Amino acid sequence: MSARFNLPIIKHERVPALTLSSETFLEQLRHWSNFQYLLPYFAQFSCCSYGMENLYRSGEIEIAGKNIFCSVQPVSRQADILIVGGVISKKLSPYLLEVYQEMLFPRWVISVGACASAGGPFKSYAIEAGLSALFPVDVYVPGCPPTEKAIIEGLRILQKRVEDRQCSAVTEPDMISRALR
Amino acid sequence: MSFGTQYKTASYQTDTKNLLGLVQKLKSEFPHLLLLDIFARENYRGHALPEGVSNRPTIDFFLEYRFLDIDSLENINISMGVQNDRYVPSIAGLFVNASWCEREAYEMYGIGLQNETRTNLLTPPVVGERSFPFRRDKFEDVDGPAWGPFQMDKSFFRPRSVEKNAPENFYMGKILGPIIACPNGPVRLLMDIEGESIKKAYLEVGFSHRALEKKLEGKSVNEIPLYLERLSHLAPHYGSYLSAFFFETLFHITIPERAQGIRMAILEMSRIMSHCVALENLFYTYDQHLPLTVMKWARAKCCELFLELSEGNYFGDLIIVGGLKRDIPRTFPIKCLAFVHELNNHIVSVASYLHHNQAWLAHTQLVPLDHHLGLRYGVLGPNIRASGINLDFRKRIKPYFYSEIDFDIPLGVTGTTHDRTLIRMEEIKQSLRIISQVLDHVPEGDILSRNLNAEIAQKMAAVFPVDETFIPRHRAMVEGPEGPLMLEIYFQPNRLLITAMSDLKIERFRFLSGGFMAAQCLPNVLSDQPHESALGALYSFNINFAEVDR
Ligand code: SF4
Repeated sequence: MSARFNLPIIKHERVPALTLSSETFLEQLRHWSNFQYLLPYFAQFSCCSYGMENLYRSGEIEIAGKNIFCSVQPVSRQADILIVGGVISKKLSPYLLEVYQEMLFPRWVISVGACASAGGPFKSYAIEAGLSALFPVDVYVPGCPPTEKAIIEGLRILQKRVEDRQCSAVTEPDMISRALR
Repeated sequence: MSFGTQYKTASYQTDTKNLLGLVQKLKSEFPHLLLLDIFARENYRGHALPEGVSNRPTIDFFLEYRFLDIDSLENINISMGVQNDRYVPSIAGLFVNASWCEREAYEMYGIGLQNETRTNLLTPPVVGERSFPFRRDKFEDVDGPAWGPFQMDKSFFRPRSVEKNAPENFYMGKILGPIIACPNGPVRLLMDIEGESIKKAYLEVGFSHRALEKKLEGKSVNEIPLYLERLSHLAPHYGSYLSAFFFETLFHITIPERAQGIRMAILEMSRIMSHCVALENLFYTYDQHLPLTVMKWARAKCCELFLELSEGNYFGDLIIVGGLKRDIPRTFPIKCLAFVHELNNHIVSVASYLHHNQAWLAHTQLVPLDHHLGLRYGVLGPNIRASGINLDFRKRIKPYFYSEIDFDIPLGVTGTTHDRTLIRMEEIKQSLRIISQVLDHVPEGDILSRNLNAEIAQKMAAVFPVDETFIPRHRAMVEGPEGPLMLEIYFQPNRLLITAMSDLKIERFRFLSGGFMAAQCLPNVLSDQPHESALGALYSFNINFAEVDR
């Protein structure tokens, strides 16, 4: 009797198919892992930490209706999604930029709350008028402060956009071709 | 919960020559004198002169000193006129905690104080000529405040020890932050380490500086609660309570009994939330998962109860001048009492769990705050009570129903991180006691004073007379969860008779919390302690850095 050999079943339409070109295959695999495995990192500063605090401590986030893996990272070096909430002062922004530069490629940013998105009620000489002055932002979550549900909804929207390739991901140029070389 | 304003106030006017002598005399007269605040303000009367008038007043700024004698609760105010180009003596030799306040006065207004530091406290270091953001155009030739976009100082990211032969060169440097202390706000802790122990520590604040005091200049007083709630976000209801209490003491309004009772319950719940943040942070740092779960649950539950009260927003602006915005739902006391009962049981079990947990004890019986040091720095609230000083203004002033309620003030002995943790847990228990007693006896009736607007309009004429040279001012102070919260406002002089509160305009807004002094004290407490305990100590003080930076 020969042992039955079960192939793993992945329930997703866009499983990377076998192709003759290794470059296409790697690209597809990479894309699949991008939307299937979310690695967010939370940088929360002031009053907005109300809604984010529990998510940050929870380790894993469940997105309703999606069968994906979303694990909160303790350091930005292991993350590819930066979730920023709170008042971004001009004294803080160089450090935030540092955090952003340490992240994995490709990377996305979610801005949470009125302050991070556009300066908010505290807009003054000491405040950055929105995160987009520092780096590209993909999803803006409104609210002052936004609730936990709103932040998860923002994550869901980002995931959908990544899956549909609607997000212009900040990618390191020709990383794949370098890996192949 | 409120103190200061209804007690005796002594005011002094002085000048730069006599300041040190006066402060020295006061210090010897009152052995337990605390420095609460120093702030600067411009001489607005001079500013209001029409264009072309060259006889500028001889006084450009005022430096205001605020002291409190903790024996008699007497307030002592000193006001000193300062000229733009003259140096002012520093009182940091007499009161060590004056140093940060004076640095702030220099940074914001450019008042030359004779203390040794010229580093920035709140704003980032800038290359080139300094500009002082709080100054009006009076001394500047350019239009508007000369501020940003600026170039970063290159030495900003460089460790301090690159200077040749600096003593720091022999120590190892360790930097924590700025994205630590998550709900409390960003802060940077720089340490010089030798072996295991910290030789010297520095705390860099100002990462959430948002210039609130400048922003509110010229604005209507109606905007204050919106900002204060967000500023004291660890216990948001204290922000709105402070602003409501400010105007109630200004206009001598008595609020209905029902509102008093509900306010007490709300404020005590807020206090629990603030303590939960500190405990959550501590248990997370020291890997105590069981207590962490309890604290997370408690804070989530408090949030849930508040969301129900304030109809879906965390910052519901529940407490308003004259009483409450809306009444509590009928089911609220039942839900709240069930929560109180459950949390009480959990706290008892967590306390006994920690008491027998050797790993916890070994890590946290460190970083003691000496009560002499604490009082010299003006640290108040639970942090000083953990060092054995019995100072709670709820017990001494007895506002609202606090005189009829049975509760204790827990005291620590050594003031270590462990003591501060236990004090917070014990205070949660006492708050639960207060809530259960209040909710049982909330009287029926109104939640807002009747004829509030008529009452205010009537008193407005007496408090704010039509006089272009008179600058009305008022000061209020409440006992928050982490020491006092202070608010002082100088109003714009009136040209016309005003009757509504929304017509009141702010000239100078000053807000300070007890955390400012605790943050100043923290580096001293850390010296000669193991560097692993630094983060836990920072969390155990539970400083709200949003309030520190404003
Ligand atoms: S958006 Fe609102 S809650 Fe969030 S940081 Fe800004 S002021 Fe605070």
